[in-house]
Amino acid sequence: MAEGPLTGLFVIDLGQYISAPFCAKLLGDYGARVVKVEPPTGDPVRRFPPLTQDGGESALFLYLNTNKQGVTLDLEDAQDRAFLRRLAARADVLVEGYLPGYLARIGLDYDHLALDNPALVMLSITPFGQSGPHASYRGPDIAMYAMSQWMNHLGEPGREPLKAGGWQAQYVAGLFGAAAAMTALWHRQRRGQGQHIDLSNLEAAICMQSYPTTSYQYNGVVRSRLGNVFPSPVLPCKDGFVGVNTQVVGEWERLAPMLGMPELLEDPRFKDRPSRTLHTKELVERIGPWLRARTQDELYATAQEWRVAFGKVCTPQQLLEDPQFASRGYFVQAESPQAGPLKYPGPPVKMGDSSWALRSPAPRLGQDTDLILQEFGISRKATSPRRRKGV
Amino acid sequence: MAPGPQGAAEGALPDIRVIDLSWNWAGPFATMFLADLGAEIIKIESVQRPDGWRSYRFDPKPTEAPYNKSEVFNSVNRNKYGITLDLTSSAGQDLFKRLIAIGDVVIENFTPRVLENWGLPYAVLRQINPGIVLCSMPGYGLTGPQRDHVAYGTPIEEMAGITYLTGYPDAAPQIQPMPYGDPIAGLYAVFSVLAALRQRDSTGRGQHIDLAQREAATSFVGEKIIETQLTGRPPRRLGNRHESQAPQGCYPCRGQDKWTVISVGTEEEWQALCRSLDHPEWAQDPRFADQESRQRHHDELDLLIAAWTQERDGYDIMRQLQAAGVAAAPVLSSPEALSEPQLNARGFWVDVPHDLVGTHRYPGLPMRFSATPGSVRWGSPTLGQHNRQVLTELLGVSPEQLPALQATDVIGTVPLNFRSG
Repeated sequence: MAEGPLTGLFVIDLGQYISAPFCAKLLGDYGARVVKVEPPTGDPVRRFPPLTQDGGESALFLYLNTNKQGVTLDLEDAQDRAFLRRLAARADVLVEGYLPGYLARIGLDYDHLALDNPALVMLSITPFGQSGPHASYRGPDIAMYAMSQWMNHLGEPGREPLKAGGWQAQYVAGLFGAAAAMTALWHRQRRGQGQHIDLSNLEAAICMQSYPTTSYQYNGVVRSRLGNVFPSPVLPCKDGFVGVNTQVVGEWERLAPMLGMPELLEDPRFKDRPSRTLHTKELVERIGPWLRARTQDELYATAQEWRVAFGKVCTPQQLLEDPQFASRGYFVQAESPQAGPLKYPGPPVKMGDSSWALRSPAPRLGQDTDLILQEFGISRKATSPRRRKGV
Repeated sequence: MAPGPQGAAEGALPDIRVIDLSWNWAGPFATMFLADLGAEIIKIESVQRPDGWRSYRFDPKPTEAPYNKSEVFNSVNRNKYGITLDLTSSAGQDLFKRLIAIGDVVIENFTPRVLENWGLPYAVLRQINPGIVLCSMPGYGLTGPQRDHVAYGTPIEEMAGITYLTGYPDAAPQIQPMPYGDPIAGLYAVFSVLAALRQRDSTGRGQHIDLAQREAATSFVGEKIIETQLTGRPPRRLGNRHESQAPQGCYPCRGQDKWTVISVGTEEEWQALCRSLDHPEWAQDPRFADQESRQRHHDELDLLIAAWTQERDGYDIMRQLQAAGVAAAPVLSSPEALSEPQLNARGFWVDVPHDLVGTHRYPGLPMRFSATPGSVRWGSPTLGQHNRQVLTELLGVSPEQLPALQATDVIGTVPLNFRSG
């Protein structure tokens, strides 16, 4: 079997929901061995709709948990905690997202686990971080947009602000986690030392905003939401929506002749970026009909000829049928017991032909518990009463 | 090379040298992450084409050298050595090749033709230094029919299927308030560069990383790819609502354009919300008996919740509901985020100095490493700030050669289009 860059690493995914499991998925997809540890009732994401036909599995769970073996452990049970400590003693990376303080109370926090494994890289991903006045607050996805400025700047003025669609803040945190884990592994390679990484989902969301807080300090500008306006309005066309993007210097000057409307460049209402933002309504009245007469594909292709970066606002189905993705073999097919053959997104980064592989679909609940008990030399007799009953 | 003022805390990556050709945000975001953790970043611009983000300033007052005072540029380029090299000139290419010989990583986010046109494709770099890792970050990939297409963060977000999901259910889709494809690609660049360096430890060889920004961004909507195959339908735009849990939304609170989000995940949390808002009758109301019912009657429930929130301050709401075990959080503006107590308790905002604009508070890294915290060592470079230091100390160029390089604009500190005739 071809090797990925992370082949040989052993990762424990103690996370639930999205951020920590996505981080572990990235490590597994690029070659690490990942063991996902769930409570006996399973990761709650298993029940997030839509589920597969037989009601068996969640699309989100299937996506986030590729390339992982599945074990159930009850952390309230002393025997199961001991088993987890055995696993952690051999792990390179452990990812978790429990409320700060919980793992410490049950003797499974970094300070305890590092005693048996000083080289362990332990990554904790929580909404607000391990310390501070709000460390124990609930921080679901929507709260991350709220407190990071992301929501304040998204949506129409005069209307409630918006969160991003899907699970953007969760993926952001998971990816920051993967980058942080790789950083700690590099240090460990050179110095033999592990460490604890305390990652805040909220701080990650703020880092994705970059400069509005800096702008405010430089010149007192308080950013607010402007709605769907120039330089990058999203406008209807014949078969969907298209992003009319003119953010780059020179793009607007190329767009006007592309539309066959060079006179727009002389119109004082559209003379610079702030004016075009202010007069978006008039501008859209002028160019709307031209756009609505053309399809997404036509508009994208024409814009590229003029070096203007229009974006087709794509549905997932469009991505599955996209020629660029097809030519790069981006989507891979995998068979899973829960759902039959499905196409999955492939490598987010291409690192040579063999770096990324979908070796196994998401595990059924507890599917590898016996295998791993055996591998670690733990007999059923030594395990908890619940487990001896086969639960 | 003497790295300048040291922070007290060593980062994890001091033995990695990155030759950074990238500009705007995607590549610079990656190299700032690496720089914060101790890597040595040589950022290469040119007087012919300085980094595009230097041209964005949200201050209408004219000023001298505005390209050195952009808050946008200054937010993503701290801890880097800034030099200029004209890579279309043979003198510039020669100096660049000498940097490659002593570098570990090259990062660039141009279309694939650019390096080729400069005579500096991966094949050439690899000959100079077989261990070099080249991380290319084009919009659509190094291959395929869209290989040479122009792209940046916002069209990438649209083309990756993320924009489609965002917006009010009754309106057009909305883009994120920043060029979202860029930082996603930047984070994958950090991940893949460190993975490639790890691989180099065992193989002795570098590689050419093909990081298509659109492929990276699509990983953030991967579940929607699976969902569409299961349901046969496109996803719905949900505004602020949750796919299944209810209530969830953004509600007005006291003050001009002040809002709070509230999100109920379980029946227990729903009961807690009703008690905390002093409306126990809601918990008995058949319209709100379970999650599905609350979804069906979400509009009515939103009005009831808003009637309560609009009389109250966002932070008071958060304290009260969180204490009751319900998720609530205020929608913060930029000034409010700067003074947010949790962020300040964690030292998230870091003081970064700058020669021309002074010291300000910038976002730090969103994680704390217990052994290798990293640090802010210096602010974003002015154009060509470190030309002398890098060329003489790192490349052994004698100081006498510098004036000739400057006179021919191979190096410099003032963009060509800023010079008066």
